[in-house]
Amino acid sequence: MATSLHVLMALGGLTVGLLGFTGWMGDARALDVPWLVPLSGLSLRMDPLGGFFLLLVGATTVPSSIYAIGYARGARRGLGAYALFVLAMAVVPLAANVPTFLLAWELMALASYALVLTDDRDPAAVRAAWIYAVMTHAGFACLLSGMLLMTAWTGSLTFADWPAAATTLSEPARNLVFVLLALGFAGKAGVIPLHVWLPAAHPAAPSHVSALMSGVMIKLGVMGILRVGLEWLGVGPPWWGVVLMLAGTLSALGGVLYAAVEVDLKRLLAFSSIDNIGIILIAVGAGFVFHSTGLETLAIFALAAAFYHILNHAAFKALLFLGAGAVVHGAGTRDLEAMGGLIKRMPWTSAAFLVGALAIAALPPLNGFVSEWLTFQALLQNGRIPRPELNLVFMLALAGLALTGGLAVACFVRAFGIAFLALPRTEAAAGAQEAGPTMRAAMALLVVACATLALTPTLLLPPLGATAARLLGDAAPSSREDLLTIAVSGDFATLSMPVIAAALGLGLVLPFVLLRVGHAPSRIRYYETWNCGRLLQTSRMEYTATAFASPFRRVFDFLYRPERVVEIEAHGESRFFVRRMVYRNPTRSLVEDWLYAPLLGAVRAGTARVRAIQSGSANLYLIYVLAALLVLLVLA
Amino acid sequence: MAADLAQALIGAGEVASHRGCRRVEVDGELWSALAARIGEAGWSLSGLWGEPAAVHMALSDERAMVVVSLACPNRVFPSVGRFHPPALRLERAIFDLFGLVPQNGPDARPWLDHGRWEVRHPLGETSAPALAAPYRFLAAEGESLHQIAVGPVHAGIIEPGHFRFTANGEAVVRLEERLGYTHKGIEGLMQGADLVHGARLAGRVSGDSTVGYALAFARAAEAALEIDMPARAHWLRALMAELERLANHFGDIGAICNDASFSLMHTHCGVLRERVLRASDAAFGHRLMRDLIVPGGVARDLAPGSKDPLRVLTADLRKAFAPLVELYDKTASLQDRTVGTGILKKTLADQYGAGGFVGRASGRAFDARRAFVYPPYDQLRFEVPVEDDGDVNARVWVRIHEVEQSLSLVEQILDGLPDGAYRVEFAPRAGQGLALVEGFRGDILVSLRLDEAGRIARCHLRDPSWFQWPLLEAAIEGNIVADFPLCNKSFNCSYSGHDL
Amino acid sequence: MRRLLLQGLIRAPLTEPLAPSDDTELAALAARLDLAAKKRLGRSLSIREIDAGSCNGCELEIGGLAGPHYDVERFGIRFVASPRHADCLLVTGPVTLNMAEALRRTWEATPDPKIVIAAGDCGRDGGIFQGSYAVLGGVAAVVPVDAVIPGCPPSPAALIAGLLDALGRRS
Repeated sequence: MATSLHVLMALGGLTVGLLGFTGWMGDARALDVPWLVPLSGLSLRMDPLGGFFLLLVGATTVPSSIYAIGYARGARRGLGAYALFVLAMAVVPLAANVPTFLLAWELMALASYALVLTDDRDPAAVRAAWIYAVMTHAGFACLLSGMLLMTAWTGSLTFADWPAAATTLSEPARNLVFVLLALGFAGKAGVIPLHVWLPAAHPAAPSHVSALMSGVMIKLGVMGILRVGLEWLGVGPPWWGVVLMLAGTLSALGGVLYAAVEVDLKRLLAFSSIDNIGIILIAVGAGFVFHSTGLETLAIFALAAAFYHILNHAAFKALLFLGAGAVVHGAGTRDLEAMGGLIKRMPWTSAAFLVGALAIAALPPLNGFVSEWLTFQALLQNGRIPRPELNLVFMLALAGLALTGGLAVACFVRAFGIAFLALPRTEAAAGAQEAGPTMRAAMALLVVACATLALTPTLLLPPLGATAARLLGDAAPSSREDLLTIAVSGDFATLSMPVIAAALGLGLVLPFVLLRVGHAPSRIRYYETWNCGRLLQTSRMEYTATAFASPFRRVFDFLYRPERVVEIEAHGESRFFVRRMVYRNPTRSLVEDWLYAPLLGAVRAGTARVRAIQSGSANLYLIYVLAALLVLLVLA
Repeated sequence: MAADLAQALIGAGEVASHRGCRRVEVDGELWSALAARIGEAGWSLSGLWGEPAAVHMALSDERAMVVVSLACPNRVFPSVGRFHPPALRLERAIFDLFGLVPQNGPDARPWLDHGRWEVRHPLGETSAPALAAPYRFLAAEGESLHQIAVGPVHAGIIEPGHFRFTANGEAVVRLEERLGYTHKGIEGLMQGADLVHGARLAGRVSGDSTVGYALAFARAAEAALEIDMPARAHWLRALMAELERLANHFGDIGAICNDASFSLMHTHCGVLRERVLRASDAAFGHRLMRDLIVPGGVARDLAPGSKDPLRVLTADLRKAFAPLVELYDKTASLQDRTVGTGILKKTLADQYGAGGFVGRASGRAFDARRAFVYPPYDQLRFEVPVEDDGDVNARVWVRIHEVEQSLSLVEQILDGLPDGAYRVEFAPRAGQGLALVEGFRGDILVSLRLDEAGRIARCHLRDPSWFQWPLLEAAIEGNIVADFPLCNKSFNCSYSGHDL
Repeated sequence: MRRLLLQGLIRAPLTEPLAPSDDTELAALAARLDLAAKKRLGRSLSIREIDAGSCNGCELEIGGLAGPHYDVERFGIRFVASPRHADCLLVTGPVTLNMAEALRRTWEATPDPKIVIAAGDCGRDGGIFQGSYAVLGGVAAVVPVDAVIPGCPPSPAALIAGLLDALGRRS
C-alpha cells in the first residue's frame, strides 16, 4: 500500500509540476471554493511566481516519492503526513487570500512536524520536533499578526487587493508589516539567527522528507519574502533589501562554517541548506535594493539569479539528501567518523553524491556554478547605485559570498572524502550495501536534473527574468538569440556553460588519448599506497572528519569556542609511563549560547511570574473570565 | 645536591681490576634499593647493559661514576625501569639481546627485536625466532583522533625510524617512537675481536660521531690495560674531536633552519661544514677522520704543514659564522618557528640525565670534558654553554656557543701541541675498564672487558641518544605536526648509535 | 640577510668543476647498467635515498651533494621524497634484517624503469658488518643492484662520479 501511495505521489508530483510549468510560462488560472475555508473561503490563483514554485514542489516530489518506494520499505507510518505535506506545499504558492494561505501554511508545518517525529523513540528526534514546533509557531504568530494588520488596514483578505491599498499606508505601517511578515517567513526559511530548528529537524526526518524540506519548504519562506516586499507592499525603501542582504550574508557564512565542522552527515547538509538560503537571500536582497533605487533591469537580473539558485539548490540538495539517506541506510550510521571506503561498496550512490557535492560547491561545469556566478555578477553591478552606504553593503555581501564559496568547497571535499574514500573506519561501513533500484533511479533523475540545469542557462534565464519582471511590475526583458553564451550587461561578463563542459570533458579525455598516441607502456603495475615502508595500513591512519576541520576550528575559534579535554591514565607502577590517553574536542553553538539561552531564560523567568495567576481555584478563574469579558466590551 | 653514591654502596663487593671508574658487585636486594633511589637521590643513570649472565648499570652522583654489577644466574633481574623511566628501553634492549627478564618491568614489549632475526636473544641463550607480531603502540583514544605513522623510510636523506603520532588535525596529542631498524649486532661482532678490529667497529657505530666513539673505545682499552699514553696523542685526539664537533654543529644549525624552510642558512652552514671536512681530510687523510684514533694513540700524525692552514681555517670560520648567527637571530619568521617550540623541561632533562646540547639547553650543565675530565681538557680553557629555555632556539644557541668554544679550543690545541710520539705499542692482556667522552651530541660511554688473549670478551657502547630519544616524545606535546621535523632535528638523536 | 644574498650574487660560485674520470673501477661498474634503462631515463635522475641500516656516514656525504661545492642539481640529479617520483634508489647500509622488508617495499613502490645504486662498502657486501646475525650483507641480497659506489664513506666526488657513470654521462 505504501508503494502504491508513493507511486501515486510521484504521478501527482508530475502532474502538479506540469501544471506549475504552464503557470510559470504565463498561463494564469484561478480556483475558488468559498465553503472550504472559513472567513473568505478557499481561493487559489496561479501567476508566474506561483507557477514557478508549484513546479518546484511537483518536480521535487517525483524523485522523493520514487526514492521512498525503496527507502520506506512498505512502512505505513507517515504516509498520510507525507501526502498532506506535499498537498499543503502545493497550495501555499497558489493561495490568493489570507485564510487559505495560513491554513495551508499551518498544515504544511503540522505535516512536517509529524514527519520529523517518524522515529519517536529517538530522544534527539523528539527534541528536534519540539524545537521545530515552537519555532514554526513563533513564525506563524508573526505571520498571523502581520497579515491581520494588513487586512485591517487595507480592508481586504485577498492578496490581490493589497498592492493598490498599500500605497495609502504610512511608511511606519508598511515597515511594521514587512518586519513581521519577513520575520515569519525568514524563520521558515532558516535564516540565522532563526535557524536553530533546521539542523535538528532535517536530520531527524526520513531522507526523502528532508529532501523536500530542504529543497522546497524553506524556499517557500523565500517566496513569502518576495511576495511581501515586492508585491503586497509595493516599492519599499532600500533598507529592506539591505537587511535581507546582511541576513543572507550572515546565514551564508554561519551555515557553511558550522557545516564545515559538523560530523553528522545530515546535519552537515542541513547547515549547508542554511548557507544556500543565505546565498539566495543575498540575491533577493540585491534585487530589493536595485528595485528601490530604480534600477529595474538589474533588479530583474538579481531576482533571476535568485530563482535560478532556488531551482539548483532544490536539485542538488535533494540529491545530496537522498544520497545521504542511502549511505545511512547502507552503513547504518550518520556519523562521518564511522564511514569510509563506501565508494567501493556503494559506487552508484558515491557517484550521485559526488555530482551533488560538486554542484553545491559551485564547481563548473555543474549548476551551482551558474547560479553563483550570476549572483556574483548581479552584486558586481552595484556600481550603478550612486549611494556609498549601499555600495558598502554590496561589498560586504560580495566578500561574504566569496568566503562562503571557498568554505563550501572545503566542506564538501571533507564530506565526500571522509565518507566515501579511503578505508572503512568501522565494521558497519565495511559491510555497507548499495541502495536499491528505486533509490538509485531517484538519484539518477536528480543527477540528470543537475546536468540539465547546468547546461541550459540560456534557455532558463528568459522565463526566470520574465517571472521576476512580472513580480516587480515591469516589462519582461528582451532575450538574446545566443544559445551557448550568457552575456551580462553587454560585455561586462559572459559565460558559456556548454563550452566549459566541453572543455573540461576534453581535458579529462585528452591525457588518455595522448598516452595512447605517444605509445606509453600499456602494462600497468599496481602496488600499495606508499606508506614509508611499514607493514600495516589501518583505517586509524586515515584523516578523521574532525581532523580535516581542525584548521577551521583554529581560525574561527571565536565562533566555535572549542573545548579541549585530555584524560591521562598512567601505569600503576610508574607515574611517567602513560598507558592510555583520552582526548575530546567538542564545539558549541554561538547562537544557541548567546541568543536563545538568555531568551529562553528570560521567558522562563517571565512565565514563572505569570504562573502566579494559576492558583487552581475555579472561582478565581471565573473572575478572570468575567474581567476579560468586561475589558473586551469596553474596548469594543 | 645528589646523595652520596659511595655511601649507598657500603658493603658491596669491590671489583679491584676495573679501571676508569669503580665497579662493585651487588646482590639483588642492593640492586633494587639502588634502583628505587635513583630518582630521589639525584643520581644519574648513565648506562644499563647486560651480559649472558649478568647486568650492569653505571650510576653517577656529582662526584664519581660507579658501575654496579649483578649476576643473574636465573636470568632475571629486578627492574630498574619500574622506578626510573629512563631505564625502560635499556631493559627492553637487554631482554631482546640477552634474554634476561626485568622483574616487574612495566613494559614487556620488544625494542630492538622486530621479530626478523633468525634467532631470539642472539647474544644470550639463543632460541627459535618469535613471530613478527604487530608492535603494540600505547593507546591514545578519542573519537576524532587519527594516527600519522611516519617511517621507517623517511622523506629526506636520513636514517630509518618509526614515529607514530596520534593527532587531532594538526595538533599532536601523543608521539611514540619505534627504533631498532638499524641494529647491526655490533656488540655481537665485537665479541672475540681483537682491539684493532674493535676500534674499527666502534668507529662505525655512528658515522657522525666516529671520532667520539673511537676515542671512547680507545680510552676504555687504555684504562683497562693501564697504558701510559704520550701527550701528543691526547692533544691530536682532542683536535680531531673538536673538528668533528664543529663539522656536526655547522651541519645541524643549517639543517634545523632548513626544516623551517630557511635554506639560506642551510647552504651557508653547509659551506662551513664542507670547509671543516676538507681541512680534516688535508690534516689527517679522511674527511670524517674515521679509523684514526686507535688504542694506544692515533694512527697517523698530523700532516706536516697543517697547523697554518688550520689556523687560517679557524679565523675564516669565525669571520664567516658571525653574520650567520646574526642572520639567525634577526630573521623574525625563523625565530617565530624556533622560539617556544619543542620545549623540554629541566626536570625531565635532569631525570633522564640527558647530555649534550639537549640537556644543556634545558639547564642541565653536564659536559663529560668537565665532569669526568680527561686529557688534554685539563689543560685547555673552555666554557660549557648552558641555556634555560629548553626550546629549539635554545638548542640552536647552545650549538652556536659551542662552535665558538670549539674554535677557541682548536686554536689552543694548535698552539700548545706537544711534540713526541703519537702512538705507543702495548701487549695484549686481560683487563676491564670504562670510559666516558663528550661526543658532539653528548656523553658516550664505553665499557670494555678483555680476556687473557687481549681479545674483547664484552664491549658495550652507550650512545647519548638513549637518554634523549624519549625526551623528544615529551617535547613535541602541545606542538603541531609541522613542528616535528624542527624538534627532531634540534635533538638530532642518533638512530644507528642507538640501535647498534 | 641582504648582505649575504648580495654576496651570493656578486661573488663567484663555490661549485667545483667535475674531475675527469681516472677511476676505471667506477667506470667499469657503470658499464654493467642496462643500456635501455639509460636511454629511458634520459639525462636526468631523480633519486630516492634509502638508509638500510648504515652508520649514517654515507648519509652525511650524500647530504652534502646538494650543497654549493658539489651541486648535483647542475647535472640534473635531484633527491625526491617519495619512491613514486624516483628513477633511482640510492641505498646505503648492510641491509639489516629489520630494514629488509622496508627496502623491498620501497623498491616495489618505485615505478619502472628504475636503477638501484648501492653506496658504501656496507652496501656492496655488508662491509665490516658481514656475518652479523642482524645483517643480510649488501643491498644485492634484497633488490637487484645496478651499480656500486664503494668507500667508507664514499666521498662526495666519488658519489657524483658514480652517479654520472650510472647515467653514462661522463667522458
